[in-house]
Amino acid sequence: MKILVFCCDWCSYPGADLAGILRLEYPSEVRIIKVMCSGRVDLMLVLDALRQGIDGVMVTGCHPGECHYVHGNMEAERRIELLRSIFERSGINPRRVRIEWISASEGEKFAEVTRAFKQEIDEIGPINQGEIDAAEIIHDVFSSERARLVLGASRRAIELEGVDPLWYKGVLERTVREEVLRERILRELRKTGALSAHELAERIGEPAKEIFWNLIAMKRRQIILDIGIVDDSLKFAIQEGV
Amino acid sequence: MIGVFLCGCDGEVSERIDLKWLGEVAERDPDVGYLETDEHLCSKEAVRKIRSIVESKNLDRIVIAGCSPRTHEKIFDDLASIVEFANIREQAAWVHPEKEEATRVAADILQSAIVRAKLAAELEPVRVPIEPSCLVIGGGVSGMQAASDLSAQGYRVYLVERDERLGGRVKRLSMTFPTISCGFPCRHDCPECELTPKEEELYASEFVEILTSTEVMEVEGRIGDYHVTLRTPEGVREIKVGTVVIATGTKTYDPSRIPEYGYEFEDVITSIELEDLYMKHRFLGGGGELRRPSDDAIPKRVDFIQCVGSRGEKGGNPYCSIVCCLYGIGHARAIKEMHPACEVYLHFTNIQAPYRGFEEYYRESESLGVNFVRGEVKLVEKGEEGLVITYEDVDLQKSFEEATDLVVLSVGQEPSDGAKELAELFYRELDPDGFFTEVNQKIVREDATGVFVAGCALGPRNIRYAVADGKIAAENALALLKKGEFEMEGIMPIVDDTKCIGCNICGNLCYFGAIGVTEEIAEVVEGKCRGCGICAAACPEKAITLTQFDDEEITAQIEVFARAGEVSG
Amino acid sequence: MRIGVYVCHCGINIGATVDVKKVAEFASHLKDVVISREYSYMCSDPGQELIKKDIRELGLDRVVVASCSPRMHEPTFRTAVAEAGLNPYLFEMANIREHCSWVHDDRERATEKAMHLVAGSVYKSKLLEPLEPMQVGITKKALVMGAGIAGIQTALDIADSGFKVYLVERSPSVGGKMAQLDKTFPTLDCSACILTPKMVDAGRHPNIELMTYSEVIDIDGYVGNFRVKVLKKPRYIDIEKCTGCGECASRCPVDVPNEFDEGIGIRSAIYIPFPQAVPLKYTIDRDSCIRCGTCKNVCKRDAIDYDQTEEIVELEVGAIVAATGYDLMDVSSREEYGYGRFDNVITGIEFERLCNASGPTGGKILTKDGREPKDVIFIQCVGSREIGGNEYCSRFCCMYTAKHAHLVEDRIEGGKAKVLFTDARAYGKGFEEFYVRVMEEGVDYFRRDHDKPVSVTEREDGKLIVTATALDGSPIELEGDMVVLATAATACEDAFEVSRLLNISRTGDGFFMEAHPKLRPIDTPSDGIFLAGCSQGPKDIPDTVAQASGAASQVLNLLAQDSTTGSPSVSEVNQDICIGCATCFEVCPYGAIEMERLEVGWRAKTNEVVCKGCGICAGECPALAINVKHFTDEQIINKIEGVLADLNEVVT
Repeated sequence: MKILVFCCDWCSYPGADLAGILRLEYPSEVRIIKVMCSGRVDLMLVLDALRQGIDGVMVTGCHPGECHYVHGNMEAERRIELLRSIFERSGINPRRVRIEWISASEGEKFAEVTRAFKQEIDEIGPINQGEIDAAEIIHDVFSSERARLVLGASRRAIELEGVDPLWYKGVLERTVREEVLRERILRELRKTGALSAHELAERIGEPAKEIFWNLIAMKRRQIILDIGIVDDSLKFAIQEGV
Repeated sequence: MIGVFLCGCDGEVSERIDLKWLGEVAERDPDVGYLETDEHLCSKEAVRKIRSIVESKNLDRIVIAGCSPRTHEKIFDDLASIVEFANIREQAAWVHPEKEEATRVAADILQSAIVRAKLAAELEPVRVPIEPSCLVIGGGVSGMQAASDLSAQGYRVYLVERDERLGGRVKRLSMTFPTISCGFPCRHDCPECELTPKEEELYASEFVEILTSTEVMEVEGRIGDYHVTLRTPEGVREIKVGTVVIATGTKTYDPSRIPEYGYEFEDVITSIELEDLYMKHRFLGGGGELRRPSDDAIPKRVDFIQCVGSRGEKGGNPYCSIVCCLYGIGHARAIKEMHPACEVYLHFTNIQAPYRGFEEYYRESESLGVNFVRGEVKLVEKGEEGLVITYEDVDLQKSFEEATDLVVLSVGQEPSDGAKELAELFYRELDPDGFFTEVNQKIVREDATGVFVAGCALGPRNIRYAVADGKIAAENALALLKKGEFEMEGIMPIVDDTKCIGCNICGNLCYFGAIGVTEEIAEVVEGKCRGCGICAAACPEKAITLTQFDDEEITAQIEVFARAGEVSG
Repeated sequence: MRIGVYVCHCGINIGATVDVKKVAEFASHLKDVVISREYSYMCSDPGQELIKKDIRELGLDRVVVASCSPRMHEPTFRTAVAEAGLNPYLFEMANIREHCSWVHDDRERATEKAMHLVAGSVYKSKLLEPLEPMQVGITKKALVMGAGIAGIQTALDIADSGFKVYLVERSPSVGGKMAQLDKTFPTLDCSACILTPKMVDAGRHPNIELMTYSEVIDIDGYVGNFRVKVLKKPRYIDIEKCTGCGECASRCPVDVPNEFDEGIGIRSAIYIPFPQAVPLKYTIDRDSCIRCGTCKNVCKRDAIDYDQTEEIVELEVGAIVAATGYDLMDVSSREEYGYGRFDNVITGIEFERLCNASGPTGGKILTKDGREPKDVIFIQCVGSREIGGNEYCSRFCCMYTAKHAHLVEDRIEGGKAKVLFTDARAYGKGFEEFYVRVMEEGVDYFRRDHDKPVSVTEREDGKLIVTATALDGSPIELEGDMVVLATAATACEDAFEVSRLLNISRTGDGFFMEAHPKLRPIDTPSDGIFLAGCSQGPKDIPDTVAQASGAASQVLNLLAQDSTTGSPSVSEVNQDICIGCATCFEVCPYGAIEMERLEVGWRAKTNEVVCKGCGICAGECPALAINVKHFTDEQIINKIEGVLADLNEVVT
């Protein structure tokens, strides 16, 4: 089993150091990667870890209100929350990712939360191929513009423009779910060449109507094109250069 | 070629981790061209040795495996152009008692450090010049001290004060405590005597420009190069400075927010108004007399109420305002000395007297006949005969309702007006109480802003500490000014302008105004960036790379951990 | 004073019930009456000549005609009187037809009543004063509300004649419903191909000021001099800077259903409704906008302005054309049709979007899951011709359904169209031929009993089943992959509000009412306000365009004049009596009373151009300082005296 912990330079990394100084034992499955701020942790990186077979990823940062960069930890929290809600509908156990606040003086807490996380991963078992495949897809979603735009703009929309945070959260989740479906469609098209909404529905296991709507949206965004009606259905293929 | 140096840490690591095997793991990497193990890598000799090896073997990057970089980073930092750390002590040796397990973990940590060393780009350190001048905002004792110290070293100082005169709050005080006398014939130890020479000195200095009735409107720029727009009585003016000292002080609490203290009545006054009363009589030639506002009579009884607006009393601010205990006691005994027949009561919760000489001063006052009453004051109201005070004596477990002639409210301190706006202009944080915070509350690292805060702007302080703060801020600013340039931490976002679409999401996320779209694509203001990387994580186009915590480096580390079993097993 | 009285028989219209001779005889005895005559048709030329001759020869200074309603022939007689050199306002009329002979049977009593009415008019005439009609200038500009094909055509025709036109459209682009269509019946012309050039012309015509994304919120004034307030909704785009490049929309991360595509297509939060939109300027839909700020930052022209707010523009125009179009009935409330419950039950306009080559499917007729339907069932008269519902025929559905059926046969390989209809109405040029052609192509028409229910259900295999009853009572059951509903055309949702703005009426079906259903189909009872297109009732494109040109020519007739006459019957304030209480100012519905500050204090004053002569001010004035010319207190009192007088006493 493998557990990855992202530590921020100001709070949780010194916290982990303190765990060492206090000789507090924590699971040897834990590996630490240091970043300056938990807000540096791009979801792409979390998903990269999962798709490479790491069984659990924990992002740790300063306590709310204590972030050295003011709101980096809040950005991290927003991202991990989003990821968990997306995981719930994508076949990945949402407990594989979590966020914890650990201050520089909380060596004990570092040891505790890593132990608890290990126990949780023990309970849910090692990451399976289905989860790895799903992580791969979501990784690609968070590598592309649309999901990143909506996620990245959260702060501006909510803090500066006064948009209702709950409404925005809904938009964010809906957009990412759409993108997940579109990414899955793209993969099927890449594999097979040209497919209709029905053929895609069979392969993906989502309703053909929803897939067709997304196909039209993808066509508008010039990601795919329709190649005409074959066998009574409109078929779509990937636009060249995408 | 990479050199790997393993440290045994005098057994702390070597007894818990199989360093020999660790060395073998390292050497399996074709890029690792040198391996050395030492029990005490941070010793002078070892460091000297590393230096010579780096030179002789022509190593351009090295990995130090041992303790946390937070311990000894500075010792190794300049040994090669790229230095990476594998924290195998805190993260492996000390936390995994099983040697085999600890060794396995250490191997992963070491490999990830080697991978980072491979990918790390050689960085030209960013150096920004420092304009040899300083803006001091706030002309109280703290700001005056800072201005005086800076100008003494020959740097240009702009001393900006919102009020018409320099001197701040201290200028309004009639005397300071606990030293109460400077000798015959004066027995006031008035701040005026201290302040006036300082003020004249500043006005005389060819390096100081004093701008009273002036406020800061706008700020642009970065450490070493701030363009500040001022609103002066003569009009708007822009100045260019390299460093800034914020010494904006505090304001006193408005006691009308606590209606039960009866501040609406003429003979209920604040401590600062008490100062005004003294000063009035002093200038009128009354000398050592206290006469109450309503009828100019010498009061037969005075009640001091402490903690007005402080320590959470009656909904006031949660913090202790520090100065009120001493000035309360000081005034109480001064009154007792002036008018021995006058009864003086002081209602308090706790007396905070932690500074040198304060405790003695407090004890002395008790013997002078000041009545110290522990307990809450319930109400100050106006009866037919005059003021009536209702209070509790916790020690006697009794309540009293008594007539009094004068009530003095020992008001606390609050962040001064405009602190929030100023903080935003300089990208500074405020604490939950609204005071400025020090550059790094938790770990004091090198400052990268060139903006220093001094005095009560950081929270309530007494005069001595406010002055000391002014000196510290000046010292910090001088250190920067004397160097003439500032070397930035190497972490820096780099924008790929072929990818950037100009969406400015980075600009909206960066608290420090270090990145943002000005024309068509995002630009980085080098002097402002603090390297957090939030921008890189959020960029929709992945157009931002970070010089030390790039996606590539992090994913390479992830890969090492993900493949761990395969390589070292 | 010399009064002439003329009593008209109006053939037998009056004469059969009222003893005209007796009335005339009676009138001749009234004081100051110098001549009293009767004649069969006073409005005829000889009748008028009679009056003119008497004026000249007998020196009449007052003329009273007792005949029909003044609403009918007052202008006729005023003109006649004026031709003889008498001021037309010294003429008075007694309505003994509509108010007497037509409503009473008893000859004796009717005759008596006629005498009373004549006496009243004679009494009033004595106090009449000569008045001069006001000449009011005409603002040589027109307002066209709605920029569908009707509004565009009207605006172009007016503008081509050199007059300025404000073309106000509520949505972000001109084009209206026609822009949504694919082909037009019966010629199968591409709708966009014929409409787009007109849209572009309207967009760049030097005499047309296009105001899209705007709504008329207030209309004041009268023919020739309307004052109009237009609310410009914020587009959040500086249309001067926007070049329509589309960079913003391509970056906008929001995907929402496009209203223009009837929800089948998708647009961003910043959008143009369709590629040929005029003006080609983007609009931000703030309801779906997530405020990410991307569009603003990627716009190279800095055209995006989130701080834009509503703006109210005031216009002055001489004429107004309402070309506000129609809505399609919302059929989701009619459960039997299954719309909203079954994915592949769609409306005719949705079918248009599917057929349209620039539509979301690129012109391919597809089910909601992207399959080509083989059997398509069309149901006609959905919500039209229903007793208790929309009782009228929506007029264009029969033909567009024929067109749709043709497209199914034409575009879908192995496609089969089945039409469930009530009557096939093919009433226009080339329509019947087209209908026959479509049937020959193999489209099956099933006539149903319109009074019997229709129901749409979905079978487990996804096929849609339509059941109805034939005229002979036998059941009809049709099976298909898609059902297209020809939904009724209805008056716009806000037709009531718009009718209040324009001060015009609506017919029972909710559409705007014309001045006369046959002879004045374009005018409204409000002078200077005209109708074009479907706002007046469902129409096909040729009829709409014809009416639009008609409306334009009506406007041009008006604008070609330099002035129009206003009635001199307006209120007048006697400032010597006025106490400055401003009651009149408060009650005047037209804002025609102005308060002016004189040395003696505040005094009211009538703005004669704005005043409509209603007299509310006069009725309310506590100081009795206000009179309405031609309806003064004294004149009315005199008339009452005449009407109520004892007939015998009067004569003697």
